[in-house]
Amino acid sequence: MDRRTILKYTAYATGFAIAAPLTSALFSGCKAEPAAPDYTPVFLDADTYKSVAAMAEAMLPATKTPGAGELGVPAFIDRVLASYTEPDHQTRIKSGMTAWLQSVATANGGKAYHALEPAQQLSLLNTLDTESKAAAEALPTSGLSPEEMELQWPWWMSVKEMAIGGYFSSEKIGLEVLAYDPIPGAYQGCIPLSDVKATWSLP
Amino acid sequence: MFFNSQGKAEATYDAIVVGSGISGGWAAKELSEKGLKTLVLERGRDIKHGDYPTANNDPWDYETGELVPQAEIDKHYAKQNRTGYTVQQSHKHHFVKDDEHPYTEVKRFDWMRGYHVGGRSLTWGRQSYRLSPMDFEANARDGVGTDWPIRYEDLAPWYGYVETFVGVSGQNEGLAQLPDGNFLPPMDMNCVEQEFKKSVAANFGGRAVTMGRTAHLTQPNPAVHGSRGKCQFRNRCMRGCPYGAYFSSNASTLPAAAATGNMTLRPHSVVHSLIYDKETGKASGVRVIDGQTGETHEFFAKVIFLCASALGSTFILLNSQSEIHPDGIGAGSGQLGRNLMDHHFQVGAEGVYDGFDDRYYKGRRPNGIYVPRFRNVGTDKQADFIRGYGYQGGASRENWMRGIKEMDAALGADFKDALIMPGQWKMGIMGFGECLPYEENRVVLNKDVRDIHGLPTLTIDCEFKGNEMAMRKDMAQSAAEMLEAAGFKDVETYDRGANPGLGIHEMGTARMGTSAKNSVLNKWNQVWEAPNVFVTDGAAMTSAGCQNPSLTYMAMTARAVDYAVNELKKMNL
Repeated sequence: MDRRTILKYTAYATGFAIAAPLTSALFSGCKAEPAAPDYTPVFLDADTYKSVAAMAEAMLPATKTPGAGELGVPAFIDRVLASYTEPDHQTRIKSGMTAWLQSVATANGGKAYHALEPAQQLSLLNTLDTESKAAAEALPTSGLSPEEMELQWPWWMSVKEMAIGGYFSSEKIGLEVLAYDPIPGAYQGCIPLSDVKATWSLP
Repeated sequence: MFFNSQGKAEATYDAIVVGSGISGGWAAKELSEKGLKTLVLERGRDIKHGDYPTANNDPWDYETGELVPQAEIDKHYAKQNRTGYTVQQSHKHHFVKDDEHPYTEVKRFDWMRGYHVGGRSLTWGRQSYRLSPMDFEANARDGVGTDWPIRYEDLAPWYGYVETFVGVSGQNEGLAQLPDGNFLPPMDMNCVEQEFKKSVAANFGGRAVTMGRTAHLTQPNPAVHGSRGKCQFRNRCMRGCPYGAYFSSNASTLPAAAATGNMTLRPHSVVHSLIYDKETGKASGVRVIDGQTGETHEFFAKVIFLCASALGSTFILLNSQSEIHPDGIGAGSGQLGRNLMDHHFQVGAEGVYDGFDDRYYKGRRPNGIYVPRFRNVGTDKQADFIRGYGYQGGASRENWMRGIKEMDAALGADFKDALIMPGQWKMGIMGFGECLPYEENRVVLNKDVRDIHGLPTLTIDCEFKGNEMAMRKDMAQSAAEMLEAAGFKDVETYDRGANPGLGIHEMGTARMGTSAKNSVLNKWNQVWEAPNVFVTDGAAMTSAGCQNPSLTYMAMTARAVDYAVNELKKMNL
């Protein structure tokens, strides 16, 4: 199914066919778990992996809840890219990522993204994020075919989705941070939000 | 060839049912309960009720998550993956492997199915609606296809009969286009859906919004539903329900059939053709390949119910070739394999609701709201298309995935913490539209491409046409109008394209009709050319309506069994 339906994700449940493939699979999905410190990336080279880990941590830092790194999000991203991504999208993401990291290094005297100060990492990431969202928003009116649009989907939007999906579908967040309710027993359609501590963790 | 280890007497039953899905389960139950020794032949493996290994898994219980490796998709699920939701770790085992069961497409056709006991009754959407009087009159009125040989009144008591046993929750609305039924209490609408319902009634001349009618027990009655339990609102239905809360053959009809002592269920039994007896002009039995051993078997019975799914049953008829029936049994009218239909969908609108920020919901409702058809009903007359459509949809609050694209907040600590709480309410409604029967939308036998058993396969040539395309414009537009009138913001329409098959409501190809010249089946679902053969699955459909069709297959099956058994008693079969 087309990855472009990510654009159109809505979480309503009709008990019928809802097309939200990667999104639904991800947030019901892949296991992000604390990565062994010696996790060896399969898809990304070692230096790129460090930068992707830094990007994930900048976006989802440790606060009163764990950060992306502690929950194994970087390894999750590498695994999804290695085995769960179609070849043309592997190429799209890898080439976009390589070009961006290259431009960052060039602008910073050869310093890789992961070697920059945290504040600068976050600032660069926010700029990239704003540009990527704008590019994604422009696609539906680009006149491109659906297939071409898919291949123009900004690489950062894909990696960001993997990072957020991996983080929020992890066991730690699913059981301890979000509201876990495996057997609700009933549907109550209109309760006070204050009765629930957070978003429900299960889709 | 006749390789049965047992003699012909041991291979002879009163009735044979081919298929154990939603129609076959009903045939098995009704025939067994009426005292017939019934053999149920299922081409796939057995799945006993409760044998649902993933039913209680949480997302993090999988080593690789719900995502299925790309290499596995490429090898086994290239077509089954087209839905975007069928090939996931927790329920991919309920779908066929395309490399074992190939089919050929002249134009894209998404044929989704599962070969195992229970068939697609394990994975169906469970929405349960009656066709209406206007649906059975539509072909005659419009001069499209051929006339149904039955009317709503013929099926109405059987709808009631199956609804009671199935356990359908829903709300009676008194609508001509969507008849009332025997319903268990409806599920709840949430705050935003209730607002939408009020607005649509007020702004669109009383147009109805009702709770989805779904085959879930909201109030089980042990005297009717046995040991099946109440819906727990886990929304993990496609994995199989350990509570038996939704209707499946596995949880409902097959246990009822087994309890009579009259049913023999034989998995791994691939029926590939009927045995025609030219002395009697009837089918004396079926030919089977054992899916595990490759052995050939023959089984015999007085009546045969083909409930192998629309294209499965049609395949068996097409493949039952002999001197008398060179193109298959039932091909004499020229209609066998033709008039393939599905519902077209993936078109509608969605929007954001400002308000109810302090409200939420509890439970994962396996159901949505339903907007019954309002086009070409009563005084409404559309210039651009005939027939109509209904909407399925619902409202919910956004979760963390809104962080990908729908938040303006800068990334970092505040961003992450915000994603822990629910976001805005959003609502979407998606149309499900009627497809007309077109003779040129068809399946034919393909002897060049063989399946894992060495059997011929099907070539499918089907497309949606002008009436469906014109309807889709209105489906998007009317959805947006209703959402806007109800105060939704940022309302956007969408049309993700219409591929036949994706609705997983494929039907037609052995239609009922008024004569042997215009149809494959008569008004009792009997094959004109072999009257002891009944086809009671989606193949029988003469037109599609816009309602989810399974309830109609169940009612048709129960009605046909009742007729068949009465005819047997009268020695007419």
